[in-house]
Amino acid sequence: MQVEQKLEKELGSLDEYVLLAKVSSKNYNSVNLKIIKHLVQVDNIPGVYVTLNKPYSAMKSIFDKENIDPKMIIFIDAVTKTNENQIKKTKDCLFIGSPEKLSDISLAMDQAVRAIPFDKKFLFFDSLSTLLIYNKAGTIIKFIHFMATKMREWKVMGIIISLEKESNQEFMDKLSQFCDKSIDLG
Amino acid sequence: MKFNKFMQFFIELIVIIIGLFTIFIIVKDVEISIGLFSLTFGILGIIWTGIAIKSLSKGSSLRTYAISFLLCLITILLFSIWSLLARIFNWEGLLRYPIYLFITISYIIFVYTAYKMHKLGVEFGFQSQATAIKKRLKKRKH
Repeated sequence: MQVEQKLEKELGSLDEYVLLAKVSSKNYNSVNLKIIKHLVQVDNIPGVYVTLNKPYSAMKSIFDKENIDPKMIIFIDAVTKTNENQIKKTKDCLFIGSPEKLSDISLAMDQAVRAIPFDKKFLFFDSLSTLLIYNKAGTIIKFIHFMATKMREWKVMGIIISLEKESNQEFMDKLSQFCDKSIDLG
Repeated sequence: MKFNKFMQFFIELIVIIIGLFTIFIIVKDVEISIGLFSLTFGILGIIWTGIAIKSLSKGSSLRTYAISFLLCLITILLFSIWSLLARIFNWEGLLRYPIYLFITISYIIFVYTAYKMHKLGVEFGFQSQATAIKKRLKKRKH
């Protein structure tokens, strides 16, 4: 089944949800793009893209190639290394400096989501698996619990991407309980 | 749940009032009583900020801001303690000068903290992007 159809079937016309999207590393890129393309180009929904996997420059060129309008998205990049891991702001993106700085990532997400002046908006978190490399599992579980609670408060379409095969089952089960849906997108 | 929260707040309020009343009864001097009363709030502020620093990510902007704020609280507390001691022991002359030193240092750190706050606002403010999104959506609808 196609990614769009799967999402349509599971989420229907919901305007607010917290979704844990499990993808295989093989399909990771295409699934991410399909979700974003559907939200931005088809549904015309603005949102926040938090990248911990690929630097903003790479994401932007992929989005340009796929005709996804980057002006509809606020980017938060926690993977690009900055001078002394300090925060750097450009007009297109906020660079956090390190994926370990969960407090700054949380603050940036909160401010970015609240800044978008529309009822319908999304928050795309890419990805949980990268967080695992830099932080302890317990810290991530706390962080995702915090994020899921916040996503409900912000009333957004929250999508948390996780590379399925790279995370253990017990960990995924714990995370699934914080989310409204957990979908395997192949 | 709401009733429990209200009760908790109510009990806490009564405890604070009893505490204040006790301070004013034991210590007859109003100035010293107010000094002690202010100190308790200062200490509470330091405890809460310390807990916040402990739980914030190392190297994060928010943590740096919290550390600056903690330094402000500490110097203000030192100012209060010294003022209180000066009042209790009737210190005069040179012994009163540290009061001015502490308050001056407090203001300097306050300025630094305010600058950190300003930087936080610049770093984490997304108004320009939000305006760009608004314009883009308007354009798409037309």
